[in-house]
Amino acid sequence: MAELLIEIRADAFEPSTLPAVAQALRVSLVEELGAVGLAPRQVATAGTVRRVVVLLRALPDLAGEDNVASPAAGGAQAGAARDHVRRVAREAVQRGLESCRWPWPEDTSVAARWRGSLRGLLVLFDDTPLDIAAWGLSSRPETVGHPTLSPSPFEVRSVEQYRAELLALGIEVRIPERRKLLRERLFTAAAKAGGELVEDAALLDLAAAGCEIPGVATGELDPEHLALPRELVATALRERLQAFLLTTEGRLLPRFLAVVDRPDDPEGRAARGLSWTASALLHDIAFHWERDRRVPLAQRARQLEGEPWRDGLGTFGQRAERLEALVRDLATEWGWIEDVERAAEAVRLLHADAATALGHELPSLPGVIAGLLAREDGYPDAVWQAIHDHDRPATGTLLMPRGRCATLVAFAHWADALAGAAVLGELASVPQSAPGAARQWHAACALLRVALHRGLPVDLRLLAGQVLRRFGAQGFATEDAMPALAGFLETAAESVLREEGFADEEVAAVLLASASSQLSDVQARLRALRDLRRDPALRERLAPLVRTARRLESLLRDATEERIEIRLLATDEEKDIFVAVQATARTAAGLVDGSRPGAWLDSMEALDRSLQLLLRHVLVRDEDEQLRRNRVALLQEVLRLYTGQVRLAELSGDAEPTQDS
Amino acid sequence: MTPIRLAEPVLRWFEERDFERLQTPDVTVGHGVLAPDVFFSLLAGSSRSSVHLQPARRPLDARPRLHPHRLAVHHQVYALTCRGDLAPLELVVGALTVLGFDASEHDLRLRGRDAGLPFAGIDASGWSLAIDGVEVGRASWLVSVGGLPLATPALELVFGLERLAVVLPEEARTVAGDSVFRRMRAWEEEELASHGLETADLDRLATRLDLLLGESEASLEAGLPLMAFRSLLEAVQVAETLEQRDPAARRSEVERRIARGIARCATVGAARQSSEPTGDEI
Repeated sequence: MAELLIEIRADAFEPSTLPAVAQALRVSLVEELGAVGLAPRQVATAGTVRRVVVLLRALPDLAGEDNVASPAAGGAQAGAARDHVRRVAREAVQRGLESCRWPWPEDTSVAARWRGSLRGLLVLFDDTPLDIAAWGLSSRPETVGHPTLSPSPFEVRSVEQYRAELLALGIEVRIPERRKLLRERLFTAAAKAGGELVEDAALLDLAAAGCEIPGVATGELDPEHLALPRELVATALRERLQAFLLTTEGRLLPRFLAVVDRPDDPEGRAARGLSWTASALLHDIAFHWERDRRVPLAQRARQLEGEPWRDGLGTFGQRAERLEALVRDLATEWGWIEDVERAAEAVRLLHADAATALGHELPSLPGVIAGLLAREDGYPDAVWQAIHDHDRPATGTLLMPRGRCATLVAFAHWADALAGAAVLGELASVPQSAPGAARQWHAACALLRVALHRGLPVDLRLLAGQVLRRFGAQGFATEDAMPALAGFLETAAESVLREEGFADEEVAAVLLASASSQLSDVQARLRALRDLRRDPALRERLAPLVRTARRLESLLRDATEERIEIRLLATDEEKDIFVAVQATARTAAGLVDGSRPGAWLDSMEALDRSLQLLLRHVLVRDEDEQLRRNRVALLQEVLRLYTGQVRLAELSGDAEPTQDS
Repeated sequence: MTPIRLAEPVLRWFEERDFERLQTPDVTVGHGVLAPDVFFSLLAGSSRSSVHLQPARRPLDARPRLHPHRLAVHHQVYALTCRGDLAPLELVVGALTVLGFDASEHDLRLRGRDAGLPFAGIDASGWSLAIDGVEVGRASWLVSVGGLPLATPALELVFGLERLAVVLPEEARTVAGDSVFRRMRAWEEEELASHGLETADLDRLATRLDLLLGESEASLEAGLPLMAFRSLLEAVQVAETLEQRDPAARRSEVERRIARGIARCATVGAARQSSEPTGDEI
């Protein structure tokens, strides 16, 4: 079995794009190698801020004597066969590199940066170099260490030697291992600094991708700056310095940790430089904070009223109007009338930080700055917290908007943002890698998480119509937006429900069912279905129902919709199943009745027994057209029960559920 | 040592590598790429690499007390090249070596950043260059200027001299007591901050901005793109002061007018240069 090592080196890769770059390369190479019969059985990607590595292992032995793809088969020299395979592999790798679809458009400055920063290419096939030329680089059988600590090139003779020599230089190319190492070093440094590390998984990912040698330096903060709101300190240090905070008894320590790309810190230079930058940054944040507090938030909001909100989506004032109307509608539907005035007050101030200097300094804190300023202005907790929390990711209880007022505001904000994107035609057309698409996805997922967490009576299609009506009332064209918005929300719902631990097939079975599409109801049915399938005895009883459902769906696939006429129920089996349908329909809601999880199953089994008798003894395709149509109508009625609460045909039946197992 | 003295060895280092040394612009800009010589030579598709000392003035960065992180007036060495064979990291390390900087003793990091200037139709992305956690410069690839795509992406390198002084070895940054430069810069920062934050009159600034934009349009009508561009650069400074005085004054209509003006200057300037004899013949 052969193996192929490819390393692309650059002055620096953008750490956040490292996984996407490695994946693009992997896909392209596997595709081209597969096309010539060299599909690898194992593929691993690795990388640092300066190299992307793809290792393809267990490639088929095309040079083997019994392989017909090789002209050498049938007794030709093994050396000639190996040469042939190397040639085939070289051409495939060449094509793979040339056709690689990078995660950025070709004519942008990001692509120019990528091309301009490339420095080296190494391609090793079965421990011998392949000559490849791509993107202005010619492959060479060598690599380099760290650019300033070990920049001399060294020859690469095998995968093992490659990894061992880099490790000897302190460079761990495997991202998870480097991340683990970095985390350990951060904890050690935190303990040494006398604090507890505030863990930040996303920052750790970024910091691990952004270095070759995972070192840690400790910086000092001016204690005076700790009087600033913690959100401001944390965000400034995180975003500008990728700094990890330290706490003791929940309070910030005047120290922080930052990742350096070297194992040591000669003469404490990094610690000094980091402290200097932190001090300067927080000095600036303090300056803006003091200045922004001087002007009441309401005055800032008024200044913005006539300013454009987003290109093509009216002004800040118009957005506030839409949000206020939506908040009032939602509060009425959810029975939260007592919260409505405060929520309305919050939406009028929601984007006032766009008129502050801090809002521009820390643009990743939408609402947080306005919320903090509202608190300074003396607004009640419900109001300032609603502003502060309105764009929280809602990924856990701690990151949910606090309270009902904040929930109303956040929900309206996300719904309006998504509807706006739909009105502009951006929801369906923006590629997933575009920044706008990420924001939209965040909004949709956050909205759904909040709805599920709080058990809100939200029907996604009705919500889409409701929020788009507000745009329509302001003169925006909304005709084409409805399908895009509803579809986007439904796709996000599938994803969020899977996040909640439901298996793919369970989510599909419940979302495709014809019963209510209200989220709280969907969630209740999913929980019941999952509980049912987790019980081995109940799961076993479900399997025959799944088989029947598939058979019924297949039988009725092309049938037109018919109506039952009782006088045409000719046989006992037909009459029995008609009665069973009525009985099951009455107990169908039992799926979500937590008091007796098997109740729904009992009634479905009774129905199933009657159905089996019918199918065994009665000919559906009777020669008499009236009878035939009536029996089709009867089966359609039965099928509705197999697709009502749960579309049973979507379940895998006998197999274990994928997510739970 | 003043930042200007730090600049000299770096400028010479680039000159020795065939970068043409340009005149320090006599017009106020916040970014080296907006120096008229650089801006219009990029549009002309010049293949010459260049370097110059750029005093950068950014009213929004003015602070009441001299602040090492934000200076309204600071100094940059600005280098630009369209040569694809030059490695930015090697250029950076090489240029700093002449200041006594030993890369193996520091933590040198390149971090991705969007370096575009939408109001000037500049699409650019690159890295910020941090030494020991202090951002001292950047390297960026420019693919369009004034909204016009460049024939070849251009690499710009910017070294912030005041920041470099923070991370350089002690002997390189020793300040020899008092100096006119330091006294005047401190005074200037104080007054810029006081003006932008406290005393500037919003109405007068708005009127001045309007006059400058009008002046620019008139110059363009008269076929003088360079003059029009200079008026626009001045307008950018006034707009920033306006914003410093009142953050809510970030008026999109002003930004649009400036962007439109710069795009027109670029188009007219590029056309004019393409119809002119080459520099050697002038």
